[in-house]
Amino acid sequence: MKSLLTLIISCFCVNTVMSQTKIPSYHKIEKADLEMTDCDFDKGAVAIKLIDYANMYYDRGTAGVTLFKTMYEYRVRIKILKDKGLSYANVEVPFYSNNNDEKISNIDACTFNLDENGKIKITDVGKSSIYTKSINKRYSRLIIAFPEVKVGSVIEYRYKLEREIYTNIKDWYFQDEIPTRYSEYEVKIPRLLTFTPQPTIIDSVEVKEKETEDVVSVGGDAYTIKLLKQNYIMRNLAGIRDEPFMGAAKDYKQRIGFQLSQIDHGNNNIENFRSTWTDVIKTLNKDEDFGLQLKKEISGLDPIIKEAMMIEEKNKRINFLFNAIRSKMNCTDDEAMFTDEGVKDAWQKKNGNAADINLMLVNALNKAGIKAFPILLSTRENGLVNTTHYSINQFNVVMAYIKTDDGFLVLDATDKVSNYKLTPEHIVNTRGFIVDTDNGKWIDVINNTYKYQVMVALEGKIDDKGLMTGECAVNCSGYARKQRADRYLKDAGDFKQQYFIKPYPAVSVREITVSNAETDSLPLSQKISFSMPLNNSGEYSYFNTNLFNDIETNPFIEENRNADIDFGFQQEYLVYGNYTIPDGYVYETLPENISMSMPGKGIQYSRFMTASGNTLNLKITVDFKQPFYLASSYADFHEFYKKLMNSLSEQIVIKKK
Amino acid sequence: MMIIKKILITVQLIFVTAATIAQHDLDLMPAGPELRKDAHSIVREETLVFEIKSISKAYYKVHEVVTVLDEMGKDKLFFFESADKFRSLEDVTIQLFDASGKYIKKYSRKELISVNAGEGLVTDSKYYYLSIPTASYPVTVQYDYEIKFSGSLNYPDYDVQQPNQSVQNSSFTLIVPTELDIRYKEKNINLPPTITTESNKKIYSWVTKDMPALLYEEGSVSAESRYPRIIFSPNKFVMDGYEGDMSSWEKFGEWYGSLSKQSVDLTEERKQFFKVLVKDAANDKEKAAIIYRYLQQNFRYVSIQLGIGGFKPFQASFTDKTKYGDCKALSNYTQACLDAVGIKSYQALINARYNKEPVDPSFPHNAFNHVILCVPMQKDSVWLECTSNTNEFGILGSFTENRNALLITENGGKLVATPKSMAANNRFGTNCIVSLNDDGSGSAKVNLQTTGEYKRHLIATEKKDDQKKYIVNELGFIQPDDFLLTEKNKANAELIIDLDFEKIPSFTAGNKMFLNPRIYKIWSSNLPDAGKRTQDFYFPHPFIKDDSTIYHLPAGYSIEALPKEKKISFEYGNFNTVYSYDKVKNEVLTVTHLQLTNYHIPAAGYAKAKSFFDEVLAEYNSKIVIMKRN
Repeated sequence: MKSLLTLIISCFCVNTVMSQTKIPSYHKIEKADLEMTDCDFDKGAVAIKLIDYANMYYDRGTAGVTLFKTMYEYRVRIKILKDKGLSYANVEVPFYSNNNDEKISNIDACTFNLDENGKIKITDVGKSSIYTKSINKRYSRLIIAFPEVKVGSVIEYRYKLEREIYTNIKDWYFQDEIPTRYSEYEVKIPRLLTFTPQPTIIDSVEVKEKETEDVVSVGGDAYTIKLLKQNYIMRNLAGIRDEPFMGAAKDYKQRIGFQLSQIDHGNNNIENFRSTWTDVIKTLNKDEDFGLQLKKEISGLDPIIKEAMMIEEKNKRINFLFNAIRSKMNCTDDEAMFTDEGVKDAWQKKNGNAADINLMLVNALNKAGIKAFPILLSTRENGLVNTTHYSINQFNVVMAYIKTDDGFLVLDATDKVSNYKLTPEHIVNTRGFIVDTDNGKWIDVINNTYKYQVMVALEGKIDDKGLMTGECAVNCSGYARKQRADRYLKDAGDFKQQYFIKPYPAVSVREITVSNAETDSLPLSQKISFSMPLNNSGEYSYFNTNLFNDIETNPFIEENRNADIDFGFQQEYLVYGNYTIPDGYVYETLPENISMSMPGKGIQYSRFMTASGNTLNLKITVDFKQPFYLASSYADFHEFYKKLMNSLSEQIVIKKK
Repeated sequence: MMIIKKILITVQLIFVTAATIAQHDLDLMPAGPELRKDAHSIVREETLVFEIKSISKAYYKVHEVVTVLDEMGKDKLFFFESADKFRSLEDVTIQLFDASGKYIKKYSRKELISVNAGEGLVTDSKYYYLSIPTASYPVTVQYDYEIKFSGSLNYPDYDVQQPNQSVQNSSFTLIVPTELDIRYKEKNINLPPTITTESNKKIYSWVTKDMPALLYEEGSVSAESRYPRIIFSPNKFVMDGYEGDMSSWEKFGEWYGSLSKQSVDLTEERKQFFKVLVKDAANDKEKAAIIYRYLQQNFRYVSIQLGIGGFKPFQASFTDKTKYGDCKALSNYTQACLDAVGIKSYQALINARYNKEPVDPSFPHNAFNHVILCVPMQKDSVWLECTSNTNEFGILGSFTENRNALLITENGGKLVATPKSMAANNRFGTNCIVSLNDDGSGSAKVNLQTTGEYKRHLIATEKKDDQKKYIVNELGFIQPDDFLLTEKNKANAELIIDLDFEKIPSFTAGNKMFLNPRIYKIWSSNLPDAGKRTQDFYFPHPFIKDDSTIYHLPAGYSIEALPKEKKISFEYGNFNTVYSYDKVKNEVLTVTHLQLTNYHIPAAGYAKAKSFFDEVLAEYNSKIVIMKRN
């Protein structure tokens, strides 16, 4: 007997009855929306989405391709508020065109304007202004160039997207980079399928749920199909701006996703999709491009593994293997979870993606007697992961995980400059999922041992002509070492320009020597010989002590902030200065010694100066005790930064006795 | 009316030559220290053959062996070719060899990544690329591929050398039917070809050997004019069935003009509209200005490059409906509008970007990437940039100034010079009145007036935090705690900024405050080192900056020291700052003038420019010292 599901497949057709939404229909607009000049809940926005709407429903699939297909009717109405917002009238909609997996049809678009007499004028977008262009083998782009657009215009477009897939429903983002006045997602799902909604929503959302029915006929018999209709509505959402150190912008956009949990095949034949991480692991461990790679014999690696086995100490053995692989392997894509070449070919060709390289490392570590597992991670730019969302799509990279006596190590062999103990820069302080042999395990990949550390020791002698000649030693450890060594090894000349020459036009640099760039266990040492003329006004000469320490500009100028500040790691700056002035000169009143901290002591700053005779000693410490600061503390953060910059820019004044 | 496209029938040819190259190790001649000096890569062996079979068919065959010495030469491990209707990539073999010349790996055409060209909103060309990985250097890469041209205006150049690249052996052979022939031009190199004739073919051959590496110099002329190369231009050509003649500017202009001949087609109603729009204007110049401003307010630039290599503009009637277009469509439309009110104008092809060289009048070739409009007037011509919503009427900006433009006239093409950039067109003027309190806090009222290149920023309508970032990061103001920006006059971009500061002095020492000469940096860019510069330096544009700043001192404070008056100049610029103290009002006045008269600095004069601007930068470090008297 046929199951209900297969029966339905052959005849499924949903009536698309107009839903009862309060939004104006296509081609209908309130004059007020054309007269509007600013967004009242996000002042100064360049454009605003007046309507962002999609209606998702199921339809009969294409014979021989899929059982069902899912249909999405999108409708977007945007008001252009500023010149800079005009680009929103060049609409680009990317879609997955490979195999016709996604198809776009029924495109309508129009521009609304007020004419000179204040009458609403609608210009329909002609076919000649709508293009479909392929981007590459997999993706294409629908392009609509709206006519008659100027500041004040409203544009609107709608289209239908067909997807040859029914076990997946597209995520819906209520929020975008420009503000949204009304956002609605309507999903109509046959009762045969159960999806669990996964909202990421902070503001209030209006949810409507209703059982409806549809009647379909199959060979003369009528069947009633039960549907669950859900509407999710949000209003007046501010735009998400790009902010410095924000991590992934998508984490700040309110959204909803859907996870398939059950298919009812009829006759009590219920297929559960309530997968758990255990299921995910089972699948991964059987995957040719993942788990099976850990069992491969990589012939060329044998001598290396043998050599590693002779190293008694565990950490040394780990470090040896890590270096042996990363020094040989070239990375083609540093964000990958599945192998491209496979570990064997990758080793032979000496190149592969992050999965090829890191799964190779896990493979080799285990062969050499070190218990290691793959760990799935999402880089800071890729955004947060949700432990109850049983999907690996939220991750973007795989690395190697080793439990050690005093904690753990996460190794990324695509990184050629970091020490093995340094938790990789882009994933430190995120959450990872260890793919072990049974249930898997979540872990907070925290590293409090290593910080971003810059230590500056500067010695300057001022002669009686007002010229300071100096030597400065800058030592960078932890993440500072990583960032700088990376840049130095890529382009030594550019490195020197960017860190030591361009930012200090008043300084003439004689020589810069950089060492230890290739010795990952030592701080990156940078020695600078320089001279700098003192400035003077009247009888006063003065000099700047804020040199070569990498905290000269303030990235936090904005008053407002939505996103948390995510540096990724703690930061520590330590500056020692030792200055000598010529005989016959004295220090004017020195800047006051200062010690300040942000409420909660999240950042601490102190500066001490003592002058004795001709010598001045200076010590500055700036200590960011947290890798992460909440947006709610931004007012303090902003104020602290401003005061910090003011204090660091204070100069030392001297004059003749 | 559309010109009906002739159907071009092309025969698909299959080439197997490059694909059959055997895998074997390389036996390279050692490269001496003179070739390694300053080099990130060495062209070991290069054989380039460009064979023109007929007016519509040509093949370019590349064989290139390059040793990449270090990470900085890695761009030579990046294969990149574009393709479109007129240019197709036939077959590709890329082989990689290690330092000793031992074969490592091979890539073929199917491994290339292909994407549609993405610069404009809509284009119909394609890119092929591949990044060849290597774990260590040096490494040697060998490219063998062929490009087929199905009629083209643009032939490949012979790029002899790139920066930080030396050349061991290289040759370029050009084979052309005698009756077609080509023209060539040497750029930055003196390298005459040997020319032979074989039945009805002419063979040009250029050979280079042992050329040491050249250094990259920041801020130079655009890349295609910077390094040794030979450029080619056809005499006769065909594109998409449209035959043309490139042997003179006149003929080339004639061809281009024929493409857009029928594009000026406004309806009578719209013509009438424009006539009414300009009815009160006193003369043609005013009429043109009214139309230009109308278009700036109602039309927008959208990059759409389609058909015939992006040469044929949209019909004016189409642009009239859409109210958008690319440079061709908008220039064509503006021309139609001017025509409607009886003003003659010409479209003009140009090579746009501030550091482009003017095209060489003696060598007609297609070096153009942009279209502007020229309106001949009784005295001077008026030039219009039709893609800008902010340019002032009749001012082009350094994007297209200082160039030779090809006017498309009824009598064919005519090469004419566009205006020279003038400092006076790019003004940045400020008047700042600062009230200082005795705790260092205070407020300021800034009147800001900008023209030309400084006017671009539509800052008045931005979000407050964006305005703040602009004020602090772009204009270099001390960070305000609060501010209000108001637009006083939209037409001349006059803004008033009221600012509050917690701390105005640069620093304090005891009872003294050290004030900056101004509350913002009038100049903040640190020019590249002078070193031994061989190439001219290009500023984005010439300019004039003027500032007057008044500090109202807090009660009880008086002046302790004023910086010395500063007056410096060099051949193309001058800077001066004078300070004065008004005892009665207890005010310090700073008046500053900074001017760059010429944006193009000859290499020989660069060291002076560098030290001039270094001094301007340093001047911000001089301080006004005020002291509290008890």
